[in-house]
Amino acid sequence: MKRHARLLALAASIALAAAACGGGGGGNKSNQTPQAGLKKGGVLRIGLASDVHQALDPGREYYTIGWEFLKCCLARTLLAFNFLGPNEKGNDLAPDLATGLPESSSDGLTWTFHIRPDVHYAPPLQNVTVTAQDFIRALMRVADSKVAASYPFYYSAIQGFDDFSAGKAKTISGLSAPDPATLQVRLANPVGYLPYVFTLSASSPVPPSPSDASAPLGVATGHDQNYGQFVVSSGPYMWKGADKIDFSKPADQQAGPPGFQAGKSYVLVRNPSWKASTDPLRKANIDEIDVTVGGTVADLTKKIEAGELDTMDALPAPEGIRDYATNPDLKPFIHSDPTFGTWYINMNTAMPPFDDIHVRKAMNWVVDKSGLLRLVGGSIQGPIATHAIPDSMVPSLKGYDPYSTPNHSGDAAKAKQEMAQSKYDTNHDGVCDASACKNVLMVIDQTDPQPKMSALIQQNIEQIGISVNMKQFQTTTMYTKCETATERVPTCPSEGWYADFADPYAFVTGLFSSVSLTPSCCDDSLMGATTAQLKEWKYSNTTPTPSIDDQLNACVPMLGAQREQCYANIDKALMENVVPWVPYRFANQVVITSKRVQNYHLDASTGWISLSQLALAGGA
Amino acid sequence: MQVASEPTLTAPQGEPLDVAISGRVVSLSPRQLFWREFRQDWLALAGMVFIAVMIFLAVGAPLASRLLVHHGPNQIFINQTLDEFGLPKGPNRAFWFGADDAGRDLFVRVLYGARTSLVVAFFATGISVVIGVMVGLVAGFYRGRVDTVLSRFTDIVMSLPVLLLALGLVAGCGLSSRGCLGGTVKPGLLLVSYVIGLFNWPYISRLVRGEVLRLREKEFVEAARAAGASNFRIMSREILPNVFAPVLVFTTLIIPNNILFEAALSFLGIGVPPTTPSWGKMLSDAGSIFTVAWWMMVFPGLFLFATTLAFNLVGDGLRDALDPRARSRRMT
Repeated sequence: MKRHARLLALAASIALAAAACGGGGGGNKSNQTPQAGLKKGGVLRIGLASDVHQALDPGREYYTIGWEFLKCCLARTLLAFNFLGPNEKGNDLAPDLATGLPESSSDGLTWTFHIRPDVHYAPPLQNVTVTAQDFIRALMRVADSKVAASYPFYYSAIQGFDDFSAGKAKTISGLSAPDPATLQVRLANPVGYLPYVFTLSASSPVPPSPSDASAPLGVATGHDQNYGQFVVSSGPYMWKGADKIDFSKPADQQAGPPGFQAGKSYVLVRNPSWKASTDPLRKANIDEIDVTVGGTVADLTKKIEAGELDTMDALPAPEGIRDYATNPDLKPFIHSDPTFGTWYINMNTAMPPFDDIHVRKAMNWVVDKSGLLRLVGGSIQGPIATHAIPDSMVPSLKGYDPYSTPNHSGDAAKAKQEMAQSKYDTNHDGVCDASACKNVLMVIDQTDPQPKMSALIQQNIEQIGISVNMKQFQTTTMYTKCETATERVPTCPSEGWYADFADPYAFVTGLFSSVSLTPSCCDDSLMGATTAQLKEWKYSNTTPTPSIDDQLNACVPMLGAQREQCYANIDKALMENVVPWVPYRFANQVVITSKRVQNYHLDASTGWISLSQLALAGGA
Repeated sequence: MQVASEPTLTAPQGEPLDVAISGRVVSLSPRQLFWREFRQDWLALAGMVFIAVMIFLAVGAPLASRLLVHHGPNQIFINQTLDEFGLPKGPNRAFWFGADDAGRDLFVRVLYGARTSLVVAFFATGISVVIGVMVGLVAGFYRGRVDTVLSRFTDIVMSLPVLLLALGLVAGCGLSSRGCLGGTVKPGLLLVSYVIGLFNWPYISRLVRGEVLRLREKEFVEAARAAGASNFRIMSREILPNVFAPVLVFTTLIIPNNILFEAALSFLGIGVPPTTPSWGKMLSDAGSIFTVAWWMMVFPGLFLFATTLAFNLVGDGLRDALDPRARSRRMT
């Protein structure tokens, strides 16, 4: 999570042109065809405007699109979801390579997974079955610093994981395989989110090396940075030509499959070892998936309209969206579904004038959220966010709106009432008159439409006496500045956050816990900062900032409904007692497809098209 | 053949010029000669009028916007100007030029954009002229090592990839609110003007140097030197006034280049600050949606085109009017 969750969000937001994922809304399902009417076969053609980020290495890939290729097609995990949208029970855990959900000991410290029998790897290891040791191998790889895995922190709760990672131990003591079909996970402390981390591709099984059974990382040995093309698939597809990989050779002499041309093309063909009987989650209707990298969004859009491509990783330009959304012939082929993301205005609780909760509340009252939504492309991009955690993650929060204004357009009168209580409004007329409110640094993303949205925010908050000095930067620079405490940025209105999995832990901890303060990431609002830290970072106001660490820690071991309620309470505490954000949109994923694509669903676990469910008209 | 009306052709004070017209000799001052030529060039006159109007509109933009539409260039009208997909609406009674994709009134922004373009036109060009004239004057007058050093320096500046350097400088100095060079250069319109001005002076310098090399050998310079005039006096009083005409002509011709250069920088996203209306930036913004919002490209594009054309026409007119060879050609 933390920085990496942010990167995932960024990747999605950049590649998808305006926004990628996020939370609430319904979704256009008009082109869904009943499963019974679907035919198998055909070649799905995907155009990527931007390449995957970490060459589809299961331990390193941290990009929406890359995750989908792994989860759909190549790297099954012990647990997964149903590969449908949040509104289709896509948040519910389901066994994948496990025979059922894990059994937890009464103290919550030991979790036992039973491995599904008779699951074979793809050629050339078609005679090798998936065993418990393969998962231990995968997690050792995640912990291996040479691999530089993207999210090892999720597994830190496993006993001995950090010691292994630091080189203090030769094995991860908390992982054991009493028999080939049983994996036991012993935790250092109970964490309710543990099942979710076994849905992430980094935990997908790594088979043993055929030439060296003792190799600790199995076939991944020697492929610290390029394992993506050498992944031995456990899913319904494999790289074209992967069956010719000679794993008996040293890693540096192994030739990658011709179906994997990094930065150019990727071709997935059926894995002959895969059996539908051992995989109830994936339909795998399509015979082959051809992916080409390159081209502008406009070109890709035209190719989809012409039937030369079936979909792409990017969102069409606004006029394209309007065409699709208003033309009855095209409307069935634009899809908008909620994901686990929120877009928000971040306020640094240690920087004047946002070190005053009344100012932060006034900001929530005054911002025209419906205007911001329109600037980003309208309601197809997702519903207005009235609180922090997306409704798609904590459905009980739906309707919770502590700063309700008519049409979500902001209410200057209420904002002024709040501002009048601030120490920065010395004459209490509702308009900030302190110097702290003048020329406030606002760091924004230069990517369209963020500058336009920031201009609207600027206009909104002028009503309560806050004027801004707007500085725009390239997306990653903007995030770096906003998440680095020493930059002392008062407000960042272009931020978005997407959780890595459906559990709210993945949403809130990286954002609001003091463990996520600099040099970690991404407690941009500086919640939980101490006086010593603020002095070190040269803040003028060194009063400790609000903290919800205790509440966050209390939620971690909880399970089920109690867990959801705990996080719902955290959301309310954030919105009413701390107010680090002005959340304004739960982002939807918007995708266009060709007319031959059937059975479109969003995969909630990745935030992109569910490739394992798609079918093509006519099939083969 | 043009015939001057007699009553107005009285011999002026100073240094009259004899011109044979219809068999009669009439004395005209250089200024009269210039005006007589210039006013016959209706294209140049039209350009002059257009520039005057633009200056008037630019200076009066705040007043005009307040009186005509009652709002400023950055005011956003989401509900009135954008459809449900966030796409801008076209020209209508409330928004004469339509709206841009941020929901702002394009008419007011075009008006304010004139300010940006004209500031660059005059300020950036002014910097170029001052530096170029000084360098050219000194190099041409002193010749020898001074000329060699200054001319090579001029060559170096001319050989620099201007757009790339400008991109780097504007981006570099624009990254921090403190600007660069210890805060001397801060982000904004002035920074853009500095950058443009600092790269365009060599052309003027070369022109002036050539003129000075020619003029310094003339009799009136020799006479001044014989009379005991200092080098500074000779440069400032004898030579400089005589390079005024070619510099003026060249200046009017590089103004449109500078306007377009600013537009290019803004088009590339590193020109003026986001809230400062600029025709180049407006064109850049229009690029992605001009198929559904033609007005976003047409209006700023028209004004940019007309303004650069006007300066070019005036420049051509000045050159023709100030160049005796062109004059004689036209008279014959």
